[in-house]
Amino acid sequence: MQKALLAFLLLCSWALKSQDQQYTISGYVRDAKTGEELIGVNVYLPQLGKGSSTNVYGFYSLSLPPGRYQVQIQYIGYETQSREIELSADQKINWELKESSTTLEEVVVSSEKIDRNVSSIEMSVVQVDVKDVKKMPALLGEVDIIRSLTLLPGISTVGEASNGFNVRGGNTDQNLIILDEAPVYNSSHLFGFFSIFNADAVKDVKLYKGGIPARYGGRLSSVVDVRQKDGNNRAFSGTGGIGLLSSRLLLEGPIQKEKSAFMIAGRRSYADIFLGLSPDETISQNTLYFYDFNAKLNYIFSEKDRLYFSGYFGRDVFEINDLFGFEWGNATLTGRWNHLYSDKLFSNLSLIFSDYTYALGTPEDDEFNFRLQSTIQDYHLKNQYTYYANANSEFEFGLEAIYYRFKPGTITGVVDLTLQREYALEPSLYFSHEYKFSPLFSVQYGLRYSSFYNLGPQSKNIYQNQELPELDEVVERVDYGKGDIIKAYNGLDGLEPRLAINYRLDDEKSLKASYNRTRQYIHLISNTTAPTPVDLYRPAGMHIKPATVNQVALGYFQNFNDNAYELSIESYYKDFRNIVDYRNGADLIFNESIETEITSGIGRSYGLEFYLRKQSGRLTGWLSYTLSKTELKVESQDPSLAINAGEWYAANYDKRHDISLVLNYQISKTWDIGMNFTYQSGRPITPPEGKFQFEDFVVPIYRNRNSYRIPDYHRLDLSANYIPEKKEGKKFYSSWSFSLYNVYARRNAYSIYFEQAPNQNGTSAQNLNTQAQQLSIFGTIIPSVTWNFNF
Amino acid sequence: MKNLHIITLLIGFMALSACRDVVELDVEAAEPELVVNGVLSNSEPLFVKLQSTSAYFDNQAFQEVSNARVSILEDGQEILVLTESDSLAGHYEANFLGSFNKQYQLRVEINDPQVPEKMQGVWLSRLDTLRPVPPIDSIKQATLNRSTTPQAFFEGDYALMYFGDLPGKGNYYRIKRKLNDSLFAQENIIINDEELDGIYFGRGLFPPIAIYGPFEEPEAGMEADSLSVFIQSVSADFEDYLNVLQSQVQTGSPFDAPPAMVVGNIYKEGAENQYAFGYFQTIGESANGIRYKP
Repeated sequence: MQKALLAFLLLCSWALKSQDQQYTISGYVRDAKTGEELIGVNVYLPQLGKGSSTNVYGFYSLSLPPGRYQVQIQYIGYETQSREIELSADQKINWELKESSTTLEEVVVSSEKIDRNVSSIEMSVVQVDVKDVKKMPALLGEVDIIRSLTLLPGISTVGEASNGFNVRGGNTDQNLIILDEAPVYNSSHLFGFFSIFNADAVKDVKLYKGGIPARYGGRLSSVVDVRQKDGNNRAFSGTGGIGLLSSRLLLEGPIQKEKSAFMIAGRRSYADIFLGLSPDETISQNTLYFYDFNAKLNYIFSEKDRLYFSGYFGRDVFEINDLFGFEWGNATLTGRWNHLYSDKLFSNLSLIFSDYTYALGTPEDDEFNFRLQSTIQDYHLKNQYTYYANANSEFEFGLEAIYYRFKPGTITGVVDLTLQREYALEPSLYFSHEYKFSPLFSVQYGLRYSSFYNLGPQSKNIYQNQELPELDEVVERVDYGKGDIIKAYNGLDGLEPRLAINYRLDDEKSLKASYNRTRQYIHLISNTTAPTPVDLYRPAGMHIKPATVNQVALGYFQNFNDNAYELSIESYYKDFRNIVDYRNGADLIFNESIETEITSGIGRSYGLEFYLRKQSGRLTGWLSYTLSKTELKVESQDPSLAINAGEWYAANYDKRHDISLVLNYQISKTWDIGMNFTYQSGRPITPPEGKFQFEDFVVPIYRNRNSYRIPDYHRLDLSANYIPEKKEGKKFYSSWSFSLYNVYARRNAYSIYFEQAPNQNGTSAQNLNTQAQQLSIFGTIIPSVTWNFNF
Repeated sequence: MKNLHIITLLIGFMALSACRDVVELDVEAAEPELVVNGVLSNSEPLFVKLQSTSAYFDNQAFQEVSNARVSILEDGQEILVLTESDSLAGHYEANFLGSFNKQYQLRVEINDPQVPEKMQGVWLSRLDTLRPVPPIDSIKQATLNRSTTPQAFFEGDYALMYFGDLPGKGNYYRIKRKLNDSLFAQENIIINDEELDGIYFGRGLFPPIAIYGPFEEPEAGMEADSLSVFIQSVSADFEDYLNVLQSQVQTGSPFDAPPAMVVGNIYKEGAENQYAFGYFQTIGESANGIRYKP
């Protein structure tokens, strides 16, 4: 510990010393047309071989010795700008980049030098370009950012109808998904068919699979950082589309030109209209749709201060005739204040609110109406600082506090019942430092310290065996008052070290390594194969412990042909502790004593990821391959509660091989075509090794958990986009997108389940025959067409 | 809220778009194990059925286990030995009715060398009490619709059951129904008195339970339907057993419960971790019925 502290002090003094006689250039990089700040723009000094990049608010800062420098600004899809500067005092330089307008015959010279995957300290990171996603084949015409992530190495789903995704062997609740910094608890609409992110409203998407920076915490496996557009502060504009499943509209414009802007966007699906066309009344009377709104407002007070407000509201609605209704959705609100204390010290203060609610019940005018509602809400305070010490050294530090309110279940109407609410506080601090020892070697190290307090008011059962609570073994009930600490997790286990190393072999090759330890204090309570919208998060506390993971990763990165090709090969190993699992027959719905249904275990996940991407030319796209294994182990003091007799077993989402090929070809100025092909190993299931009879039930006997695999999954999708040339002077223009999903109509198995075969009378009484049925979500080719417009 | 089957609604949606195909799997079968099922009640003669498990895709009849010594202990004393039926192998019976508040235990002894060794030995059921059961005071017919009764999804003639919970918490009742002497297939309705201790259904604030309906009009010349309803007093353990069993046989959606072993109340003497499948039920039962009047 003392040696580490000494090394840290030496590094700091080294970093500070090198600040002697330095001046700073700083400013913002924006889109010339819209005024949007651009994220991750390279600010590069070729003669020094050094540079920096803009942060999530488009700000950069570089401190250098006085002198004359060529400064290059590079960003994918934009024309590179270059300017010579005489640095003899601090300078504020803002840049405005124009989108590159290439003809098909030109190589995209302007952006070919971008080599972030080799030069950046970051590894295990995926940056999604929304423009690429819009060109891909889309299910029912819906551009889906989350679905596009699953075409990248290390990211998969349990199946087509799954709510959520798995990253490097992590469960779906181990992904921190944030929209303008607000956590989103359910990232899907319509039972996992579509994501909640409106691609028109999204500016940037970055996913960390490993090497997670210290500023992020709270989830074990990944961070998906989604940033909404700020709004065009130069001119009023709009974009939208009408598709088979849904329509969308986005409006943006200045409130005060170049000072403040707004953005609002909305979507609404109309699947229920198609249901209404069915001659079958049991289908036609049903309702099924989703809608969502995104909104953002920002105001630039001065060069030093900027204010943002953003929000999201979305709902899914499902009604069966007029008998029963079901709805769920997220709501978020974020207020942020950017402040420049100096040219080198940037800060962001955020206040965030997030809510996920589901409700089900009968119509209100029903005489015997009822409504069951469950909610998780959180309130955040986040204060983050970036200190740009010099061109080699950048510090980040900050604090965060999250206050949670869990309302697991309230029933109103004919019956009034409420499950106890739960409250928790999760404060954390972090620090990190990125240091470039030389153009070839850089290190980022950091430490996050998190703690968690499960708070009252609440009444808690104390069991005979607190490690193995049983409902019939309650010895007493203890009442905790408001704010009383029921359980605190604030020891050394809350230390979460982070480390990333980049060693450049040359301009085009680098080796990287990373380590992170992350902690998760809230768990998604779900014991079904795929999470459902009715699953809720519960906090760590007296009986549920926080989960932790240690992840190491190694990678080799290389670019070819002036960065036209990008190659990465990464391997990783993850070691999980205190993963929540469930006892046999666990009853999780509206259960006051959920601790009696839960058990916990350990896990391990390891794999190799290969990624080759072509970024320029008529043909672009990528090939990704993942070889991986994820296993869990649940032992218990009570052998009957152990899963798989306490032996390692494959996780539900363990897929050995995962291959994706994504291509887009620009045929002409107006037409491009695209293709996605994906191949995955079948996921594991538990086959019955026998059966027995009880009354007129034939009951399967399961022993070896997940010892069988369903057939492999593969699917081909095609797309074509027609984008006519924009006519001079005409503000309104439109385009068409065509998609074919599941081109060869494969009936991919989602699961295999085991049942008694129906007899001739349609009942299963006295029919002892059993069979296996394969469930496929889609079994046919699904075409779609969308008309898109802009003005 | 154990009976709140939200998942079935989600299954309903999936049914709109999903495809199902019968497939064959190459799965290794395990060695046969003992299955013990039986019912001891206050109203029907005692029976016990001994079988063995079979391979899941083997659709032959389950193998019976004969020549076993099957006996009943009442309050710790062996009171009778069942005899194997001449016509139904593996079916053991006795003309015996249990008494309320007595504790009963089943004992099965298998020494037949033809039976797999794993199934041999002495097997016991966990001690259970024959719990008192409330009578079904009456079943009446009434015309209902959605605006008057939440359970009446469709307008028509329903059978209403009038009965009251016995005082004292911890009562679990299983409801079974027969229509024209045919038991409803795979029915698993259990209610408990957790929030409703001592309530009488059919008096005051609590309406009678619409136990069946709407009745169908009989065809010309045919007799109208006859409904029989049984209330069985069961243990909390049996309710758990049925819940786990239900979760394992109700399959077919992305939201299925994970696989679980359905373990009953039969274990090997001297080795409680070794269990047989099936369940020996000790139940109090009351019944009533109605014939529909169109």
